[in-house]
Amino acid sequence: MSSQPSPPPGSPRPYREVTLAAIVFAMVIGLVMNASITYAGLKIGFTLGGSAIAAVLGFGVLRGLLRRGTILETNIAQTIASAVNTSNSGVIFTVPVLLLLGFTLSWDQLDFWLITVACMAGAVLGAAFIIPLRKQMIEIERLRFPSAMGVAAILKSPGAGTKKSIVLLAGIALSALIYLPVGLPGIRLPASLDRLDSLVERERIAPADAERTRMIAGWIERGSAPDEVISLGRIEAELLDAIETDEPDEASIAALRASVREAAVPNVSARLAHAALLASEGEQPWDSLRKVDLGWAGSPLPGYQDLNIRLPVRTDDEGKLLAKVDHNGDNRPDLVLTDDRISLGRILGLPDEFQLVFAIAPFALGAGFITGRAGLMVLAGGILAYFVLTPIAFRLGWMPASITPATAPGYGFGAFNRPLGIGLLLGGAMMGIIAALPAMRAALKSIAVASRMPRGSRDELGLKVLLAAIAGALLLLFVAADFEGNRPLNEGKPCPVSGLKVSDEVEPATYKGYVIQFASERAAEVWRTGGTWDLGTPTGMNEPIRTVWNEEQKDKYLASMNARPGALAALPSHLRAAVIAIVGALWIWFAGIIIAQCTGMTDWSPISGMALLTVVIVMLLAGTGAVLSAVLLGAALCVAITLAADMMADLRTGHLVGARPVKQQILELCVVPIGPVVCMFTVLLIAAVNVKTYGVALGPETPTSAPQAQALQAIITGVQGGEIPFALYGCGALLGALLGLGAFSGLGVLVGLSMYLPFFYIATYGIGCLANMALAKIKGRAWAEEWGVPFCAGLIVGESVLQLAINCVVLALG
Amino acid sequence: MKLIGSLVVIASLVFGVLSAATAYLPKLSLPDERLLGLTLNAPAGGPPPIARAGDTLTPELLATLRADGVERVRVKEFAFTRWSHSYWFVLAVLGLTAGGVAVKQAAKMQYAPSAAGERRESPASAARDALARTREIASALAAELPAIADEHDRCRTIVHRLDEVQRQHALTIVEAKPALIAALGMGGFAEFMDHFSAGERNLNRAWSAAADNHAPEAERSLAAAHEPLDKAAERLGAEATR
Repeated sequence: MSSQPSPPPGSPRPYREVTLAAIVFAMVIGLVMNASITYAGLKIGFTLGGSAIAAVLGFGVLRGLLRRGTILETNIAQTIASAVNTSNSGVIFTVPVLLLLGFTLSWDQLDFWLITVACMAGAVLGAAFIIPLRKQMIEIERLRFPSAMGVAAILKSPGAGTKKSIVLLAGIALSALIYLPVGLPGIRLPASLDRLDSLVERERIAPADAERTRMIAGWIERGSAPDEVISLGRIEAELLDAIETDEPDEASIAALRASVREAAVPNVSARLAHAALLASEGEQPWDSLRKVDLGWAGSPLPGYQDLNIRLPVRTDDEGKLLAKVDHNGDNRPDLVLTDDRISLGRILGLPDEFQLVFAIAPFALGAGFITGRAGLMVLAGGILAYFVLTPIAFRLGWMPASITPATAPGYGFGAFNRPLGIGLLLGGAMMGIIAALPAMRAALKSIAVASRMPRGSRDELGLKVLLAAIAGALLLLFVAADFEGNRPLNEGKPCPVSGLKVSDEVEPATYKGYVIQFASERAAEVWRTGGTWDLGTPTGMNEPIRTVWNEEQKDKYLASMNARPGALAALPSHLRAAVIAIVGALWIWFAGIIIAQCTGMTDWSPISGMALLTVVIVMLLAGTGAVLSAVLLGAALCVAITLAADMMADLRTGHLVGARPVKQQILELCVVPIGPVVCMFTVLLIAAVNVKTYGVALGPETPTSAPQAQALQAIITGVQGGEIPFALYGCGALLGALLGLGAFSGLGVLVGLSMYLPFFYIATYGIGCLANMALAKIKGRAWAEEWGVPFCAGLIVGESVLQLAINCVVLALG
Repeated sequence: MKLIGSLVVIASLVFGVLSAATAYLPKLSLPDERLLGLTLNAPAGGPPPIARAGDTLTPELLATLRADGVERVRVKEFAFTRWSHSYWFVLAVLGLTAGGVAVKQAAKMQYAPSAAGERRESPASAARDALARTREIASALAAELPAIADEHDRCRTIVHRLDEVQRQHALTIVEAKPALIAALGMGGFAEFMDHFSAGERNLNRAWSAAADNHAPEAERSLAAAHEPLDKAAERLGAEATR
């Protein structure tokens, strides 16, 4: 809208905003955070936002060490650093699922680069799509973006006076103090033998862990392990050798894996057996078995759980503990205070299906406070899901009889709450977009007017640049989708007709949208003409086995490959890829708005839900056998929407400190493609090391279990098995849209989001909202903003910084 | 009316989600032909369960489940005719529509200007006052700053005076959003906020530059804030005099 005048001629020193020091610093921080958070995310299942950490570090380096950083220079640094870092949550939620499903990724494979290119395209699309909405979301709708406000409070603290800096630091200190006992137990050291019973008593380790540790201690003391363990170790060694050869033979690897399973020894992992073998052969000392990742019990550093606060003892007539106080059946009353949450409902004696649990999360408290009154809608949605729907469904017998009151909330989440919540989100977002159309029109008009201003005085990136970026990214997405869409369904697998290995020399056939490869020309001919294939006469039979390759047989083959035809199966392959790329891009735009709205209103973002829907949509369009295409587009979308939300948050911070949006937008568009490359190579490196060490790329058998990708894996197999509850999504969408008819068009988004999130975070978040309202009532709205926001910024930053530090220690300890 | 509308919305939402939850839970009292061949999506009967997820409903399995007293099963397939609470859901949809419209109407009436058109103590007038005060502060600063010789003092003055805008006036304007939308319409509100936000961002920049002791940039940004703030006032004033 308005222009920034240029500095007058002869001005002694320009105001520092975009500087080389800020860019270099931010790139280094962004790259390091990206790689380390990718590793941590694959290991522990969640990632950290980078803006707050980058702002604090930027402060230290640019203002502290270099002694020249301005508020806006530090803002540019946090914008770039978070843009480089943020893509990791998009990649690690999606790409590792391919490794879990048995696909291989390598830097010299086309697939790896196609996925990387798709993620880079997604990054550009996410940023380019959301830029035109800055005016509408930040300047007109005035979404708060609690974390972004926190970052702005940090950036402004030098000029805000000593008192506010002290309040900010007090928030950081309190947050770290509260969060320390939550994070510390993540650091586990090998337990001493005399502490094993105590660890079992405090529910830190299972009795089986203690037993295994004593067993390993016995081996170390004797200098030998039982024969069956050594045998298992030998097979594992053969397996690892087979995997490490230059040309691994899949069949022999599969056979060795089966042998490992057959030779399994109770309570002993193959890896432990392998280590015992090496020790018995003198290749490593026996004492090297004293490692947590080999199965030696880990003793966590102290946490809240060590306070050992349990429910009071309540017994039946026979003196046996009531199931109500002993859910896990270990003959002790259950803990009500664990490391990361407190179960107030059980303390108050609420029925078990009402799980009133609070997360010990200063971040959620701070975000709730900064959101204020609007956040109560989130709390209301959580109450609807977990205190109305779940208990009623349980009491009315809408859950299987095997579900107990204690397991009802978990079942209700998967069966009703999550699909309805995602539906409400979609419907609410759609209604929000419709209601905001006049604002969007005004915002776009304003951007169009600004585009005609001289280049140096524009505040906003012009629409032409954005359209060019979108067109380029769309082309990349099409190329990636086209390549993956034309990949044979049975590449590297047996020929459907002859059962022999397929050959690249034989012309493949296309059937119901799938490309099928064959071992020989004759097999291909039989498939095409619907002929008969003679599989020979098995021993003991008089008649040869013959298969007629008619439609029914071909359909059976597709079903055996979990490959149902997609809605676009009838289209030519290039056109199909183009339609999928366009639908994917439109979906990225819509999902980006949803995520930005959610983050703007509450600080929570339903990335996993959006990724899930993307994969479902692509599999419905391209067919359930198109897993690679679905994951490729899912990865692109996840990267896009995380960056859209990050970009909007950075622009919100920028607004609060008075940054010029155009500078942030140009820099962000330039650096966003870097993040996915770093993240993909990190995943590749971790997978390669895991394959060498554990025989598998990722998953529960490795230190990087990739929990989020496991969830997506369940969804993919669910789609292939026809288990997606589309009617619930539809009902939710209708309810979400209608909720927006009232005074607040985005209500469906808030209610849906809270049905989809775990209640313990919502509960803590709700306390923050209520605290804001109480403080505003007592001390006034302005006071609550002036002092509450810096304090809560400290709460948000303190937890993030401490968690990053703890992650570093965990990773350093292996 | 707003209260009644809100209560209808809440009740309809509760009934809506409850009835939606039964979409995949057909009653076993339905005739066999509407249930046979469906695939279970959760264990049924027991405990221990009589049937597992993935099992197909056969006449024998149906008979066993009914004999066990099972009333509903979770299946993979959806059909409107099997949905026992579909009529509840339709009622919930109607209730949400009626309640939403009632709430919207009540909000419009709440913020509508009075018939006499007199200036009242309302969020909209508070926003108007806040904008006027913001402009006053910006103008006063522009007039005062040339008289302050020391650059550091100029910066301190800017930070001190703009603190008031950031802490109070901007917040008041943002909080008046529903009232301003009622007064200006969504398009008019968007236009007003477009101008106001541009001015506010320049004031924020002036604050940041002053906090960094960069008086020239702070003064430039302060000067740049005048035009958009004037336009915002014009937009608000034009509507007020209608």
